[in-house]
This record gives sequence, structure tokens and C-alpha cells, in this order.
Amino acid sequence: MNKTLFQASVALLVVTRCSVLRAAPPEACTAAYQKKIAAQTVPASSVYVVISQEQQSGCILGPTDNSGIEQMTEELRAANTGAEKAVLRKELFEAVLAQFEGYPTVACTEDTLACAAGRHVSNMRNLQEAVNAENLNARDAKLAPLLAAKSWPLIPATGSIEISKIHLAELLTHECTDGADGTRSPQCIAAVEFAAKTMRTSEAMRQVVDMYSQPIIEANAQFLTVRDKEWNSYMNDVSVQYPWELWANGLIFQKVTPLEERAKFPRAPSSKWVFLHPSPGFERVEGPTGGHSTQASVLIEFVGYEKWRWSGGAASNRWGASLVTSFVDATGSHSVGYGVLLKTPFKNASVGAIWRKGDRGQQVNLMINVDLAKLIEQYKDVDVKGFLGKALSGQGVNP
Amino acid sequence: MRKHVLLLVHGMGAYVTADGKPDETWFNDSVAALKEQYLKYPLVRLKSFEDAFEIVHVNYDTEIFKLVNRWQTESQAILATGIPAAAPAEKLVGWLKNAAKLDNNFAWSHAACVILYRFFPLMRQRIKMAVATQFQKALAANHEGAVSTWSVIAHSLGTMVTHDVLQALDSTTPNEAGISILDAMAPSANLVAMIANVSKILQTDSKVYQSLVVPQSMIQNQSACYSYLSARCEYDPFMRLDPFDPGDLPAWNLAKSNGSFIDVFTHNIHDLDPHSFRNYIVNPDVHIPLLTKLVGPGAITEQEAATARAAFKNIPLATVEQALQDILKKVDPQLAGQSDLDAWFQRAGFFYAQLKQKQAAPPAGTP
Repeated sequence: MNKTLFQASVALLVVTRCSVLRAAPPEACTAAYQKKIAAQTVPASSVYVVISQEQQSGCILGPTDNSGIEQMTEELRAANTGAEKAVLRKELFEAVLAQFEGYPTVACTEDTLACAAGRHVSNMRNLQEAVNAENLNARDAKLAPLLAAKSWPLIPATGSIEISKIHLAELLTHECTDGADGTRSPQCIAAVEFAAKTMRTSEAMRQVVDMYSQPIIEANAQFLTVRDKEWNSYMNDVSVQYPWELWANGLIFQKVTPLEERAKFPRAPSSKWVFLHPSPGFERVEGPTGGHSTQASVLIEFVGYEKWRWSGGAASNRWGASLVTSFVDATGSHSVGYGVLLKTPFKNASVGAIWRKGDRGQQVNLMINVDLAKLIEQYKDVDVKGFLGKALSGQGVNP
Repeated sequence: MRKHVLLLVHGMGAYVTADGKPDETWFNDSVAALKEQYLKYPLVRLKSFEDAFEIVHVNYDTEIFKLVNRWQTESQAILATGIPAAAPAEKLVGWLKNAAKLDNNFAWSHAACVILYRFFPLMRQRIKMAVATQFQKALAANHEGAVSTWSVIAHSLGTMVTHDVLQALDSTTPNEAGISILDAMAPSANLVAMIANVSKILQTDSKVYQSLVVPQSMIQNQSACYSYLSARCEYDPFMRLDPFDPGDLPAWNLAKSNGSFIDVFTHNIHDLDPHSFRNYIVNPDVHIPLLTKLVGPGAITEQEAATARAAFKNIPLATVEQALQDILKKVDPQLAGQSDLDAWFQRAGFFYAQLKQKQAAPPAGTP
């Protein structure tokens, strides 16, 4: 920083504040300065931290802040009608601009307090104009910085405010360097007050920008919600994929989805292949005397395919088919049968036909397969496990 | 005004209860470890830890648990049929019968999450979405207003997940205005702290050195963060292979030179598991830059930092160090001549197996 230029600007600042703008609100952080900074209990390089910690819990938008800006911001956020918002917004902008009454208003590029104040005030006025004109096109190169979420807040890691190019940590370190006589330099209090006002008003502007960005934020949130539902449904509602299926379908997903898309939030697949997929089921088996009973069975789907549509984050109209083998332990029937399985959208249930040899010749049996894990989760308060356990233990459920 | 939102993202291991709910143990321990350091420095603790941060626990293990629990349920149901002819089916799924068990189950509790994330793209996308949704909820405006400052601290596998989520949030533009989800919602992260950073060796669809998860600078305007801290420990077995090191890439080089990229390489063992979050955070070389970035420049004076570093070196840790060296002596020879990623996974297995044995019978004096 150009020290001579800075000293000149501070002198100008002090003169103008004393002589012209007596109406400016008293700075609440002056007390914090006297208590925590003036006595040199902290080194100059740490003054920024002391004052920035006042945010939210002290003299900057905290309990001892007398600017009323926090309350105005809350009221604006809570406002319902356009007219109400316009009035409250006007009050808020008047309050934040009043914070800098008496400060130079030239938005010069130097890294001085005066120029920084000028840039900051200029940016706030520009935002006010944009909001009043309801000109909130974030694609407009001139408006984009004003409307960006990252422009206004104080960034703790850097101690700076991006839009106004104000480096508060550096500024305070520079201005609060100990005087030759061991006292805090006279510019320090001016810099501390400026920092407090800048932090306070920047935060208010951040809140304004957020309020007017809500349509975009809500559209983005809706996008994430739907994508999240789709992926949740794919992994947890659509019937489970065993590791080898998940891996193979993952390879297909990688192949059909461009790299750039995969690095973002791609849509969940709307189909899947089934490979060597075992699952429990029930088969209507013919006995040695010609009667039928429903027997527990174990299926292996050799290969299958399912397809569905995404609608509001849920899989709908899900259909599929698989070639299967079915294992049963039933008197009068060969233990291994082969068939086809049709997957339906109803409760993830599947029905199929199984060809099986038996004592009385070739059988064609009806097969029913359910998504057991999902069923147990869905009816966990009901003793489904017990019910199915009885069937699965080999006790046929007679019609 | 909102507090500084601090997102904590866990690493590999089990972070769910037996019924699949998020287990807060690691989060609570990690917050306690962070707060312990926070309270050591007078200017940092000017604001109470509770007043300073709104802590958010980000858990993706619940999603992994849901999947393995379904595998387990299906597997057990098939095994329960007791149909002799169904032996081929039992062979296919028998190994999944204890997939969701949490106790004494390293393969599933530690390795599965890494393998599922790294090698199963569909699960990776599911986890990304689940974590992104948690980020979005944490960063959305509430009755206290919009978020102005937020940071994320990720550990181990969480560094990879965090990278991928931030990259996606900052590059996806589902609105007409063409503004990324992250840019519309909140400023870039004040700090991305990657503790036990494994994001390089586990990188997948997005390359970590070329992504948007790099500190903003003159040559990197579109960026997900203002500062980036990467920490690795000499004795952390997972940090030995392909550690995060962007070298002289321009954006990273510039960030390093202006102090917004902090690459920390530590040499301490204060925990029998040197991969643990606590083993990193107790080290002043990690927590001093981390707290400085969270609170602001000058939060810890040079004198305080020097005192903390001196005091840290004086802690006698011979017993723990010896115990760990014993573990590594057994682990390292088994990995000779293997490719990086294979060796990394095997290292994980050997290390935790040995660690478990040691923890079962800790040497005298082990903290």
C-alpha cells in the first residue's frame, strides 16, 4: 500500500467525517476497539481477527450492533409482498449507505482506505440500482459480479471481500502497526471502524443477493432433489443388484455416459441387465398324485433385462424379463427347472413359467418372485420374516 | 447472521449403527479433537467454538449400509431355504451373508466402502448425490439467513467424496442463468481441508489436479474454494502411495506461493492408528494453518505457533511409535513389487488386521 497516499486519505476522511457528516450513526465497534485493541493486547497482524470475531456475536450484526441492519435484513427476508419488500429494501440500502456517510466516494483502484470505501459504496449503489430496476440477469457481464453469492461475504481465510477488492487483514495490519512511542497508531481506530462497517454492510448485501437469487437456488435444489430420488430409487427401490451385476451395469453406465457428465450429476440409468441373480421365490409344483402345492424355491436369473421411466424421481412402468433356473425340494418333481420370468411394476413382483420334469411327466409351473429385502423393509413391523420363514423352511403353503 | 458452517465428512470405516442409522461417534470425537485445539489459542477462542461454527455431519456410510444390508438379507433368505439343489445359488451369495455386520468385520466395514466408491461407478454416483444433497441442505438459507461462510473438513475416503461432490456442484448448471449450483447457493468454500488426503490415488471421473477444487486465484477464477489444506503423515500407511502432490501445475503453484494451498507433511504418531483424524489434528503443523484459515490471518501469532510446535515435539511417544513400527514392518514387505492401487487396498487390509491385533493387547503405556 502507498503509505503517503493512505495517510492523505485518512486525513481527508477524518476531516470530512468531523465537519460534514455528523448524522452518521455512531460506530458500535469503537467500544470493542477501546476494550480489545487500543491497549495493544494484540499485535497489529491480529487486529483483523479480533474485529472479525465480532461478527454475529458482537458489534457486527450481533447483540451490541446498534445499526439496525440485521433487523432490517430479517424483515426484508420475511416480507411477503412486492410493495413491502420495496419499502424495506429502500430502508436497508439507506442504512448501509449511511454507514459510509462522510467517506470518500471515488471508486479508485488504489489499495487505500479511501479508495476501498469508494469502491464498496459504488458497488452497493450499483446493486441497489439493479434490484430497484428488477434487472437481475446474472448473464449480464456487468451485473454478474454484483449478483454472485461469492462477491460480498468476508472470506475468513483471506480476510478480504471480493467484489470491492478490500483486503481487510492487510489493511488493519498496516494501519494498526505500533507507533514509535509504543502506542497504537492513530489511523488504527479509523481502519477498525471502516472494517466493521465494511463487514456489516457486505453481509447485508450478501443477504440481499441471496433473496433475489432464490428462483435460481430453488431450481437448482429441485434438480438435486429429483436426481437424489432417482439414484435412491435405482439403488434401493428397484430390485437389488448383486456385486457382479452392479459392477457390470456400472461398466455399461461408464460407457454410455460421457466423462464430463459423469463428473457432474448424471441421471440414474433407466434400465439394467440382470446376471446370475439368485433370489427366493415360490413355485406352484405338481405332486406325485397330481395335486398342487406352493413350494419355496430359489431362482437364478441367468440373464435378464429391465427397463423403466423416471417420473418425479420415481421409477414407473417398470417391466423386464429373465431366463431363469428354479430349484425346489418337492416330492415327485425334479429339483431343477428352467423357465422365463416376467418382471412387473407391481410391488417389484415377478411371475413366470417353469418347465420341470416330474413323476407324472413334464410340468409347466407358475412361479412368483418378490423383492424380499424390500418387502421386509416395507413390512418390518409385520412378522413377514416369520411368515416367509415358515414357507422357506420347506413347509408348503397348501391352497 | 449465520455462523460459519463447518461440514465434516467421514472416511472409510463403519459410521452407521446396527440398524443403519448414522453413527455420530466419529463426528463427536472429531469435533472434540478440533475444539481441543481451538481452545488452545487465545485469539482463536475470543469467540466460543459453539458461537463460531454450525457443525454439520455428512454421512454417506448409510447408503453403503443400505446396499450391503440388502445383499445380506437376500443372501440369508436364500441360505435359509435349505434346498439342497440350490447349492449353486448359495455359492453365489453365501459370502454376502454377513455383509452388514459391523463387529469384527474389516472387509466389509473398512474395505467395502473404498472398493464400492472406487470400482462401482453406480454406487459412486449414489454416494455423490447423497452427499451433495446434504451439502445443499446445509448451505441453503434458513430463518437465520443465507450462508456467508462455510468450510469442509474431510478425512480419508471422505477427501475423495468431497472432491467429487464439490467438482459436481461447481460445474453443474441446471438453470437458465448458467450459474453452477454452488455459485448460486453460497460463496466458494472458505477452506477445504483434506486430512489424510487420498483423493489422488482414488480419483475417478474427475482428475483432482485439473478440477475446480483448487484455490481461487488470478489464473483460476472458477473455483470451489478459497483455500485448500492437504495433510499427510509419514507414518500413515495410506499416504505412502501416490499422495496428493500437484507439483508445479500453475494453479496449484500459484496457490502455494500465495498461501492458499497448504501442503502439510507430518511425522508424528500420537495415536496407534496414524491414519486417524486425531493423529493429524493434534499436530500444530496441521491445526495451526487449519485454524488460521477458519478464523482468519493472525489468529495464531508466530510466537504462539512456535510455542505450540516446541511443546508438541516434547511429548514422549516412543511406545506408540514402536507399536506402529512393528505393524508397518509386517505390512510393508508384503507389498513389494505390486502396482499402486492394488498395494493400497492390500495395505489397508494388512494394516487394519495388524492394528486390530495390537489394539486387542495394547502395549503398556499406550495412550
